[in-house]
Amino acid sequence: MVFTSIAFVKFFALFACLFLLARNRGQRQLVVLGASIVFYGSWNARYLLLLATPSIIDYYCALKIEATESPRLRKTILFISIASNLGLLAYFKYTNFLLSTFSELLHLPHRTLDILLPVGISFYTFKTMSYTVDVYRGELRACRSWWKYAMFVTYFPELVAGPIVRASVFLPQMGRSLRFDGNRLLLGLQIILLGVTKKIVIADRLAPFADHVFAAPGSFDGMTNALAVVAYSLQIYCDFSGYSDIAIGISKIIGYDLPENFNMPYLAANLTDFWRRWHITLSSWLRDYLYIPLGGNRKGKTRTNINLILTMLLGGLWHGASWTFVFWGLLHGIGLMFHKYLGTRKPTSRLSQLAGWAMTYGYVCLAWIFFRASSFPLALTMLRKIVTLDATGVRWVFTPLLIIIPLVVAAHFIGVHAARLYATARRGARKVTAPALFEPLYGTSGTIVRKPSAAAGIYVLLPIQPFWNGFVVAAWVLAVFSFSATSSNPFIYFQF
Amino acid sequence: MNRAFYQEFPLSFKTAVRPRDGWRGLPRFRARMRTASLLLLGAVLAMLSVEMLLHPFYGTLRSSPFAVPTTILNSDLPILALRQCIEGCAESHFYADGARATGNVQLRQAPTGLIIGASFVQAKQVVDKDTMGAIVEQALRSRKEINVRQYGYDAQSIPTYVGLAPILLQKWNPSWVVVVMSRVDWSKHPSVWTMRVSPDGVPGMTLTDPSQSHGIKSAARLLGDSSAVIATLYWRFRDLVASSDSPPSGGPATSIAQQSETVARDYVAALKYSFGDRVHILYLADVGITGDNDPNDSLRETALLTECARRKVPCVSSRELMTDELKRNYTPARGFGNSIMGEGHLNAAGHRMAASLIESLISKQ
Repeated sequence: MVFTSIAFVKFFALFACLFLLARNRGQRQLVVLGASIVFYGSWNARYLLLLATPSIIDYYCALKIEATESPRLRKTILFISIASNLGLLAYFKYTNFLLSTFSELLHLPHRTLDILLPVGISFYTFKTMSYTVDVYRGELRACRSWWKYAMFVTYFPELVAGPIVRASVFLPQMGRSLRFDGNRLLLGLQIILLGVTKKIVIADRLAPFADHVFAAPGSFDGMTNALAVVAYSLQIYCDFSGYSDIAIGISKIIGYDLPENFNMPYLAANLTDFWRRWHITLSSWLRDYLYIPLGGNRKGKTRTNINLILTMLLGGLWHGASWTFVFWGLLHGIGLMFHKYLGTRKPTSRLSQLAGWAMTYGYVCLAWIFFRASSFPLALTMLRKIVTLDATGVRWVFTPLLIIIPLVVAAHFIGVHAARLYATARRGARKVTAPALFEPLYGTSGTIVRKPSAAAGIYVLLPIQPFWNGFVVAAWVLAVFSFSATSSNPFIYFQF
Repeated sequence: MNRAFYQEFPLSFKTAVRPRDGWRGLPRFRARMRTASLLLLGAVLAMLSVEMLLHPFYGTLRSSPFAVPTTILNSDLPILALRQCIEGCAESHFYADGARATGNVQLRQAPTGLIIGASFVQAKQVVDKDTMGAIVEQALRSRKEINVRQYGYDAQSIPTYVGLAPILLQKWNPSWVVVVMSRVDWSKHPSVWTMRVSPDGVPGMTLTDPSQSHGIKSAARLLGDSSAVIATLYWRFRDLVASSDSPPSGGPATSIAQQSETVARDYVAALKYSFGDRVHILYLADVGITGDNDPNDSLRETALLTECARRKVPCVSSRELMTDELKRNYTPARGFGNSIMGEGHLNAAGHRMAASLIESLISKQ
């Protein structure tokens, strides 16, 4: 059930009716839990058993860890929890990958098992693992209600493709009343519309071009291949951040706040900055639960570099069971290492800033080639065609891309300037969305402003007067319908 | 304002709340009704604004085969201009009877050649001068006087051309007829006629004009014809529903081969019966961007060419020429900058290739 499908619209309408009929918080939470089970079960009912396993194991492990004094026993219980999570992930996601790798290495006949990858397994495994680790570290109290914990694990807006919500962020919100609130509805709708726009106007429009060129790079000339890489960089960004926006928006309407996942990543001036802006919930997870426990940068330069490479390699492997993903991770690890080696001084002149941005974007695009290509030979063919500016092959200048690039540049320009204006006015804001620029149009009487947090992002409501609400929402929806792609694709991150 | 809302809201955001003074004292129901009415009014105004913006770029073409025997058939000038930017960007012109204009001056007293086909002949994707008919007309006129009349019917197939044959032959008495076929002729589309071919090759026709349907669908179609917004919503909704449906599973290779042979046998027989010795067939093969052959398309092509040879109907397939152009000059016959390269309708280069094949077919006559 994809967010941009008719099936999901029906599902959400039914969910909203039941949610509004519920009388108290407990009932509303039960409706959310039921909806989450139906949502996940719609892919394959058997997956529900798989989802229930970590919910039960981690719930009891966390309670046991908290109740136990002995450090050794606590460690053992934590090990059981992590091993069960990673065991499931390894079996469902990496068994065939390991089998094919070994059979190739040992020149044995190729054999694979008939294992269907459960959707979203990588996301909820990381979510549940962070819970027991946080309880073990004493940073979070174990959840006393299994229903509440099950609701955290199965929460449908972010279950299959993130953002990866930590228990320390979600569980404290469980005390909320979840009463319907018009302001939340407006805010959620705005974020959903942003996400849908990114997904079906940009990502789905660019998908056919990127898909066709990546499938047969040898048939196209160097310029077409280069354009396809640029198209893919925008496609994956708008696809994934679009999904995150929709998830955040739906959750806002329900009554829970999910963390931001993207912050204009292609404006990053270096690779370290890129990872602070791209898939924020994954990069911070890897930092807190892998990089820092490995020693981080506290054990000398060599060890820091090893930790960086190892973290990014595993980050690559998390994305998919293929050596191209591992290589993508390696490229990012090397890039981060190189940036650390050069030093983290901020470029002072405009020219050096621009050079830093261009090098970062170019390097990220280079890595995307290996991320998207279905095999190394295809990736290398594409790379060769681009580097040698090979003129042989069909030239395909995909005109929608030429329209989308200026739009994306303009949107970033607005975002940056709005953020700057906002930061000057409110101190500390890092990101606002375009509608903030129109803020004076709909007045600020009775505004309540809190100190903005760095990763939260600032969303401004649609014009508050009902007439303009109706006008903007209807015009936005019609514009999205008019300029959207003719076919909708599943979200890219569903496969991870 | 609900204070608890902000207290439990950890993210930073800025919001404007409705001014209290103007609303205080109003009964709740009235306030809600007013809000709902204003919302609705805003939405309606937005729809009207978008309609005004989109309407100049919107138009429909219903080139029904029933337009042929109309009284204004003799019009020498195209009466309808159509612009589209879905596959390429082009303005195309059509005569009153639905024939696609060639952009060349029509010569009086000159014999006529007919090109008939589906949307490949309608060719909304290219300008008049780039259509296969226009190129053939220009090339043949260097040797003799001729007019080329090209009729393309969107999503129609051989039964429609067979059904139209008596009218077209009577009207134009063409010196030759080229029927342009493609993979689409083997797929199921609602056709104006259904056809059953007897073992001796005589087609029996049943008229089933799908445009005569009534009810919600036809009402929606009528509304869609007059409003760009409604048409956009209708088509997007259809796309969404279609993308939710699971794709049909392909049948086994043997049944596809069998189907290819049966359909080719009936089609060629019916065309030969209807148009006589004047008929020629051009098969537009599926040549993708890699130049690899689609096995199913090869089956259809082989069945058609075999049946043509058996019935002594001049036939040619575009596969060799299209593959050659792709491999040698990197020129795909299908696809545009804003659609998928190697798929969809013929581009200008594809029409040139089709025209050269038609010319070689005709010159053998």
